[in-house]
Amino acid sequence: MVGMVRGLVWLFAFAMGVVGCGDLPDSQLVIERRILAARPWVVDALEPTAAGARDRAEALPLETLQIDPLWVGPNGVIPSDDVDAIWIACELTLGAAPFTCLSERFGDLTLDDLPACVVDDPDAPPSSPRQVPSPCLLERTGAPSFTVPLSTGILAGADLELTVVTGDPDGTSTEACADALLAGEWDPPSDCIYGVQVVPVGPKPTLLAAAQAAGLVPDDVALPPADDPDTHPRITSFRVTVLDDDGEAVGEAREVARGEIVDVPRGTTLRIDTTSPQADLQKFSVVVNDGASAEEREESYTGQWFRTWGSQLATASLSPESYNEWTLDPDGDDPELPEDGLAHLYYVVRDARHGVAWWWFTARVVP
Amino acid sequence: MNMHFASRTNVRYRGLAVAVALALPVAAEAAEPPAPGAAAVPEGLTAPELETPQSLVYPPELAAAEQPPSGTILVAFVVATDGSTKEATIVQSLHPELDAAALDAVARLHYRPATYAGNAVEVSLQMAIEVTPPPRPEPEPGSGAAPEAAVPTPTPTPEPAAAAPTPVRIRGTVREAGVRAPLRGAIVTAMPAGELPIGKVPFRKRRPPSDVPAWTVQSTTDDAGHFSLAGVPDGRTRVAILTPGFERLDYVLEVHGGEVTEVTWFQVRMNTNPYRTEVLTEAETMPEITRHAVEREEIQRIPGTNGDALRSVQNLPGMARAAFGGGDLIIRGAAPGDSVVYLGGHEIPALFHFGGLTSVFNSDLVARIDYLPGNFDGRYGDATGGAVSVTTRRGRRDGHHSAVDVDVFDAGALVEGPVGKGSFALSARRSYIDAILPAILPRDGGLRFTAAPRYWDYQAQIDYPLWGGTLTARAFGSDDRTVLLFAEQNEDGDDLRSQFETRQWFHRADLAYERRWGRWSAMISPSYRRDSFQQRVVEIFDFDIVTDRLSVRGEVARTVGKRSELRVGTELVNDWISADVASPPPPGDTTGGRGGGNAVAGGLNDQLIRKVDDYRGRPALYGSFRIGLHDRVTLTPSVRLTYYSAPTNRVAFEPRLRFEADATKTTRITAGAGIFSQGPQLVQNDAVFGNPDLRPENALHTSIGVEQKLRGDWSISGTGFYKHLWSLVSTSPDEIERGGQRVPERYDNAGIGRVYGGEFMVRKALGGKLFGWASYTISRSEVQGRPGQSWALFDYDQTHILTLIASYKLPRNWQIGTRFRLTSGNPTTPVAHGVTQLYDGVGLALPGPYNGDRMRTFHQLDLRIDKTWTMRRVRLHTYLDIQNVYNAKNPEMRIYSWNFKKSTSINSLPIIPSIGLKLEW
Repeated sequence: MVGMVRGLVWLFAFAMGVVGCGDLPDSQLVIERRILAARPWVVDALEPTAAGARDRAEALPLETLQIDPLWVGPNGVIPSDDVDAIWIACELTLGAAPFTCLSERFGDLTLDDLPACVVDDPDAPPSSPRQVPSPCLLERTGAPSFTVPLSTGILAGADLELTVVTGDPDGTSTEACADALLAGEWDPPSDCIYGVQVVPVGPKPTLLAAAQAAGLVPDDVALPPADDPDTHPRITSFRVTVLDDDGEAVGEAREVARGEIVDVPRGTTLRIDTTSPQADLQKFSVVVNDGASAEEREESYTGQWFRTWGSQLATASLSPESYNEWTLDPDGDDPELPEDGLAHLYYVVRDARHGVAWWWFTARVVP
Repeated sequence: MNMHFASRTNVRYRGLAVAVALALPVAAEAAEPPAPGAAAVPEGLTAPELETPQSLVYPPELAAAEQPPSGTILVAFVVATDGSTKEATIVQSLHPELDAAALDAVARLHYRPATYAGNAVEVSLQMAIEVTPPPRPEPEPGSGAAPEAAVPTPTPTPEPAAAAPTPVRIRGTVREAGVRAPLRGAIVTAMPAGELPIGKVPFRKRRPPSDVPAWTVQSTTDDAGHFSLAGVPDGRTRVAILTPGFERLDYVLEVHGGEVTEVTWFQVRMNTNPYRTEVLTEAETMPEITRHAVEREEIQRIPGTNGDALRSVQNLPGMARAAFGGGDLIIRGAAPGDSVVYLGGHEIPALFHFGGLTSVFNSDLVARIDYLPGNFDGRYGDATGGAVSVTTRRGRRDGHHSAVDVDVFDAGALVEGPVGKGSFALSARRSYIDAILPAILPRDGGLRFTAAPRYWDYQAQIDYPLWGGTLTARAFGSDDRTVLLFAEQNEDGDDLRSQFETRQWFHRADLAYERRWGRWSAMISPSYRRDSFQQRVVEIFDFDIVTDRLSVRGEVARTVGKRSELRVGTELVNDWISADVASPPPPGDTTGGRGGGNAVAGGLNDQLIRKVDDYRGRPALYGSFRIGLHDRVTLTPSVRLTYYSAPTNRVAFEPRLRFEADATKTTRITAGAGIFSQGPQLVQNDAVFGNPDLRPENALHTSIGVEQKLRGDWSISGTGFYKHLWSLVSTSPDEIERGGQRVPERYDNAGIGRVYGGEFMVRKALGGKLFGWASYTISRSEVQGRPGQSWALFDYDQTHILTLIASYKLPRNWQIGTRFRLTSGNPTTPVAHGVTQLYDGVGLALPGPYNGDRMRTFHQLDLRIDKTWTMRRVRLHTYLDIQNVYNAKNPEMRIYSWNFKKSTSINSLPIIPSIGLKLEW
């Protein structure tokens, strides 16, 4: 309650204009290497995937996931293979908040102590729990894949927490960044990059049914209604229109392919319209009173816009049919246009669960 | 009521203190208070009776002067329980030598002491002594006797010697200007007008006659302010009206033969009104180790508070500064939620509109506020911090009165008056921020209001004498609402995910019946309250909680012997809670136990949803036995037993002991120790969001203090305190077995804490032209979230808190006041790096040592100017309150860049001038 009151005071202070955020860098301006999102998706399912089905964002135990991160920098998207990253998996306790799994062990860990994420008893039959150490190291690559373990915690409903660490090729090493984090340092080298991703294991009703079948859950426990697996949304259209000084469209909008480069005169304002299908938004159940009942909810889109140069009308979008404006002119303290004349725009859309999709294109700014 | 006064009476007179400012010849009988907020004299008070009149000897040298001085000397003094007089001071001076003679005369007076419920009590009196030089007699050879004053004794002024059964010639009423209340005890004296013209005598011409008047006729106003002057000769007559605490009034009028002249005169209350008409009922004088009370007039004039009663408490020792000028009551390093606020004997759910804008209860209806920073009596419970008790006042019975007040935030109205043998008061207020704020916010600022902030509140109270006691019926409530929309410029609709909505309201109805008979007194008060808290934060948090509370308080007390008193009471609190909450899981233990934690938000399906209808009961029994071991030593053991119903299902046993001693007539020493318990918060022991197995938190309070009364209204006090806290609710990372299942524990009782420090105060009480205080608190408040963790500063620790307040009354009803505050910055957890939450794109801080840093030192100067215009039938009061006069940039919190590598500060409120006016009639 006190926190809410303080929140109200903050809001009032904001409303009174006493909040000064102008000193902080623009979060939407990409001027250094960053990781904007990660997309875990099932590449090896227990059951065949129907043709045309969207990628699943949550996996069942023993299914294999691929993690595709979106690494970006001032010079555009960075291929995952070019990033030396360490991925640490950790099994969240039931109901725990993300990042608590690893952070609660800070100070007790070093990188060298972390075991690899392999089944502790590879000879155990596939039907028995296949424990994996927690936390553990995934394969050292920019975009790892791994198989979801079949542990008692997972069967009880726990999710997986993935922490990614990378350093700077010209600065602090990835190992040093990881050691600083695991040591619990609160001021690790500033060029280290850290991210955390939650990989949901489910659908939970399916998992609970499996646990009941395995005798881990009493038979008299009522199973919640089955849910469809959480899937990733799509961006089905990404259109760009040139606007004149009055904000009127000049010519027709045209579809821009992911990663496409378009020539744009300096000072031009581009209107970008995106479409993520309403049909991709799923309905899902949320348990009430610790599982006594369930409520149905529906996903919703939240889009984030990033740029390496120029200015943008909005930082976020909330609707399936979303738009933004990108003016190819320096904004305030923005850095100078790179010598190659390329400016990049990134769009990341999430569905309020674990689904994510992204798009980007490049403007070659013509004097 | 000032602190000094309370201490004196509490110690010496077994908790029964009556201070009544009266002017002879008005006897100290139960009288309606002359000022709003002055409590009525309790029934059972017997006024002191003068036994030995004395004469004031007019100094012969002065009498021999060419123009010997004459006029009124006003003397304030205290009639002690042995009938002697003491602490005599000149309130209205005439001449140094005459003043000295008046003090000498008063010192020789002896009374039969005032009594209350059979016990002698101290009474503060004022006496108006009319002094005229003696006629110049023909000197008798050999006589060296000094002449005596024309009004040689301070006994009631007799009717004129020539008071034959003559007809009344002047009849009238004396009322207080502005509020029209009848003035009792005004001395109305008629005398020849001399050369003065008909009409009101201007101040500059208000010289006393150079010679002894040829005749005088005098009368004193009764309860209704009526007077009559008989035997006044025809012709122009000068009438002087003298009332202690009011400006003298002189009129010249024409008296014609056979006619009765009817008049109504209005006297203006003096800016430096020496009245302190304050009556403490027995129930309110339970001795406390440290108790600070703020008088109404002080409340209304403290700079930086906009005259708000509860905000004035924030300036007392031990009270830390609340961030952003908010209304948090941070007492001795404790969280606001660890302290309790009572109004009319029952807790209130919200103190302030929007967390600190202005209090939810009209300050004009507050009689007094007791601030108890620790070691308080067993009647207050479920708090490990401090307590604040607000006492409302009764409506006035001296006529119907109204007031309208307007300031930059809201406007309100108050109506009060007599109803039968009782009184009523009605008040209401509504803000108009909702009309102003949207107009001044930039349209493209990304922030707009669907429903702009607005609040309203109301209060109603009826007091009625019934069956020898007093029945009070009270109803009040409050409602706050706002809906904010953080809209991007590419968004057209009002998406709930961009919305911050909050609505909080409560309504409360109380009944209270109090009665005294002989050595017994009793009180019972049932109260029903319904409150609601609704909040939606960008679809992540969604709260809808409605609580019905029925609480009953009852007390019985009996005086034992001359110096002791036994009191037992009960407080039954029953809450029926209906909650519909959706929220992310509570924060993990990433920063260490109590008070920390990152704001970690998951996706929609990570939300915890709770729909529950629950009951929480908290019946308590308490008792105290105040034992007067000696005239100067009091020991008060007390105990409180509180049962916390399911899911806590535990009894808290809270023994407490307090000690007071008057080392000298002006020095008081206090000490105390006691156990204080507090149940877990609703969310903490909830079956889904928390841990239903939590126990109550506990604290041991210890303190020792000394208070020294200085000359005049000055006093100095100091208190050292140490608090040890244990079983504090702390976030837990563990999983536990509950009901045969592994579940996250979320919270446990592993935390401990300690608070220690000292509070010092130098105070000039209200009474003259100057009032104010300097308070300084040095303290440290630390917490250890889990065993093995290092001690860390608690969120509300402020090492140094210095508050200087001074207010000075200028001529012509101007008043100027200032407040300066210098406090340590609030603790903050340093952050230099962050982790990107890839599932929602939001940054998560990597926190440094918990509260390992501080914000910069806070300093602020506030200024307040008041001006009052008093007309015959109305009074207009205006003020200009400027907060943060020199616009200091005081950082309150840090906000960070997306990656937490850079930060900037959010400053406290900038310079804010505020204007208000109040019209009374």
